[in-house]
Amino acid sequence: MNMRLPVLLAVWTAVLFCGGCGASSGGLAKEAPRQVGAADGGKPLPIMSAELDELTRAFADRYVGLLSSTCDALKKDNPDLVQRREAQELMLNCATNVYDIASNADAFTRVLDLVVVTTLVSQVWIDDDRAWEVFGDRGEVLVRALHHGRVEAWALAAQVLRPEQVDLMDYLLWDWRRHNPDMVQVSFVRFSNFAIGRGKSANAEVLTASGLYANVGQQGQAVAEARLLTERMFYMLKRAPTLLRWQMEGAKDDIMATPEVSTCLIDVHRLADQVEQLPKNIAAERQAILAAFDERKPELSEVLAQMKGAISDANALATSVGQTSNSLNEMLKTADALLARYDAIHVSRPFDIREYMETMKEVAVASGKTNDLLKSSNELLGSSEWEHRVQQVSQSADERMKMAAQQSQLVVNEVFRKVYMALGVLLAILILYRVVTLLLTRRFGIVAGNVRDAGRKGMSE
Amino acid sequence: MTRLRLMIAVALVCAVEMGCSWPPASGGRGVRGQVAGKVVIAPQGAKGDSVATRISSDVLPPYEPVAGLSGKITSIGASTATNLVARVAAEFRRMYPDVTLQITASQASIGPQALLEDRADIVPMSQPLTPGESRDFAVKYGYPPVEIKVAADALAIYVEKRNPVAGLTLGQLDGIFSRTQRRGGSSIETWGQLGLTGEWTDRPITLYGYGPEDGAHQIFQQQVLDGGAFRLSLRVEGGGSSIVQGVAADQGAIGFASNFYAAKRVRAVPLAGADGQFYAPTEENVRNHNYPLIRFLYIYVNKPPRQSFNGPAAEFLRFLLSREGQQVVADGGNIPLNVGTVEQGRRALVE
Repeated sequence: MNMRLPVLLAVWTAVLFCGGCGASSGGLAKEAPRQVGAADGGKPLPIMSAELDELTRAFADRYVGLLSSTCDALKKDNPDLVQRREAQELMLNCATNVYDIASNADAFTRVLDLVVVTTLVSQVWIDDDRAWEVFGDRGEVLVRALHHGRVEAWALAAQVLRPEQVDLMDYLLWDWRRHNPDMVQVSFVRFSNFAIGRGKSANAEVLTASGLYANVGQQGQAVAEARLLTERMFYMLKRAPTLLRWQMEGAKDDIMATPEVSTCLIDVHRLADQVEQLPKNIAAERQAILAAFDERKPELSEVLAQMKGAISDANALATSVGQTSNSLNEMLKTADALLARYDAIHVSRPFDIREYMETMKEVAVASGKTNDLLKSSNELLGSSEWEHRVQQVSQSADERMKMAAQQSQLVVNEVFRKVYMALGVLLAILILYRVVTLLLTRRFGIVAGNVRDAGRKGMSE
Repeated sequence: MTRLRLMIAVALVCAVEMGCSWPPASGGRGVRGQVAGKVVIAPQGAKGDSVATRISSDVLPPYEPVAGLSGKITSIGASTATNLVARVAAEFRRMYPDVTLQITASQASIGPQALLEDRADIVPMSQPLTPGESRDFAVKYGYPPVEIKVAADALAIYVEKRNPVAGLTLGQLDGIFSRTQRRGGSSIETWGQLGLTGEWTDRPITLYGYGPEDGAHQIFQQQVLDGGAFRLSLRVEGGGSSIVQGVAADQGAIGFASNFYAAKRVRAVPLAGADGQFYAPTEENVRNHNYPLIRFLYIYVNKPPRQSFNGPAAEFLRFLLSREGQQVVADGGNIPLNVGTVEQGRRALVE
């Protein structure tokens, strides 16, 4: 078995090449030119069989080339695996079948088959809008290419068909498509398919009467079969590597577009992307951290400066509170001294108005200081700066500043308490002073009255 | 070494098999794919059945077959109407297998000539005979040919599906397609002149249509161009399907073809009727004559007045004017006749 296959292949290949060489050397040159074209009822068109051979094969190559370029354009930078597969499949199927047709024995049949394939393919992809459904906006290039191919094929057909035959072909193909609306792979359809119902179908009757089949039959019988067989083999053999390459590419696209492979590929792509981007991501994050730190640095400096200012203000406040305490102490001492004097006056010493005057002066001075103190304290406590600073100090969570604030509050409360006490003492002193004054006035009045009465008495005596 | 040779051999065999295993074109390969093998075949006639009108039995009388009919029917006529005849003939032969039909599609001018020379039993036409053709016939035979309307058809104006034009008047169509503008309008060469904006403003209009030999070309010339001349830039296609595809592949294109050639990638533009309203080429608008571009498909026969008209050709026409025959008309994409027109045709066969 292992040995038979290469041997068979070798023999078969030798037959192919020998037959091809033999035919190409003599076959074409010896054949007399024949006219091809509408035979029944119409004037034969002036085109020779050999010329039609050339035209059809040249058209086949052009058509395949056009499709190849178009499918390349569809696949270029196209990440959609299904679209790539569809493009490859379209190109491969069309190329395979068009080359198959172009290597057909009969030139006339070749023309009709080319018209059938190009028309049906264009109907599927253009008329039924499959180009847009599969490729979206990319499909426009395919629409243009397939329409161009169809126009060229019909121009070729117009050289061998009468206008009414062209019209009939147009209708027959449209009608065939209408009855096979869901058939997508139409490049396998041939003109002979329309002959399946020959003798049964009315359309086939029309074709028969129009002379199309007659041409197919006559031309098919007229050619030398051996020459055409070898020509066909040569033609196909020359194009086989291209087709093989496309077929392999198509198989690859087919595999790639399989859902399982596609999913796997997506995962691999994602992983690769992640790995590729990892150093970049790390660098970016590092950069972002440093940038954030740099960005926060002025704010931190400002906060530190504000904290320093707040501490300085707090120190000043503490100093001022200390001074206030000293003043209050002095004032209280003065008040104590005053009370002691009052007690002394009240108990033993005679009343001396100068002492009270002196005391009142000191009280007035103390009151002034107290007022100043209160004013400054009020200004300080009521100022937004103080609140701002206190808030800043609080926000910075500095325990020391909190304690300072609490102590300040205590001191202030104490100051107020002492001030109130001082004021109370002052008021009491004033009341006492008034009482004393009244008493003294009354005593001095009595004494004066007694003196006046004694004087009146002495005078009267 | 043997293994290497074997691998090369297998590869070569595969390559050659791919090239040579495609069956020959004359082998009746059908639609079975040999390479990719991905052929999907839908139920026959799925698209046609989904759009065809069902003709109820109370609208038209059913056909009553006759016994023992045999013979031959020769049909020579214009291609569009001949396509209809071919479809009806397929149904007709199921009932009458002994009847043979020889159907020839030809240029529009061949049919009247065949009628005049008595070479055809029936002459399908996509437009009425010209006065000259009728006169020639009458001069030769002493009576006019019998004209029978067998189906209606709308000439649709197709644009590419993304074209936003909402509707057109016949005057605008004259400005687009004609170089003579006999309707008095101005020449229209870009879509912007029809009120389209944006990318359409400066987009040139490309024209697609039938060649001068086709009946649709002549009808369009008479009904739209008022007998004027087409622009020389008209791209003439071989058939309605080609026209529609030409429009489908060209965003700036406009073309006219039978309504039944409609495809996914094109849109039929509504046309202004006699009342100024815009009408799409639907069956209803055709039957009540609201849509302005209507034509009938005719069959002409050579029948002397007051003489019985029998035989396969007469039976074929009776079938065509029955419920079953008009159903074939509808299934094929044409518009079936209304009752009055059918009755008119049936009377013409017996008078």
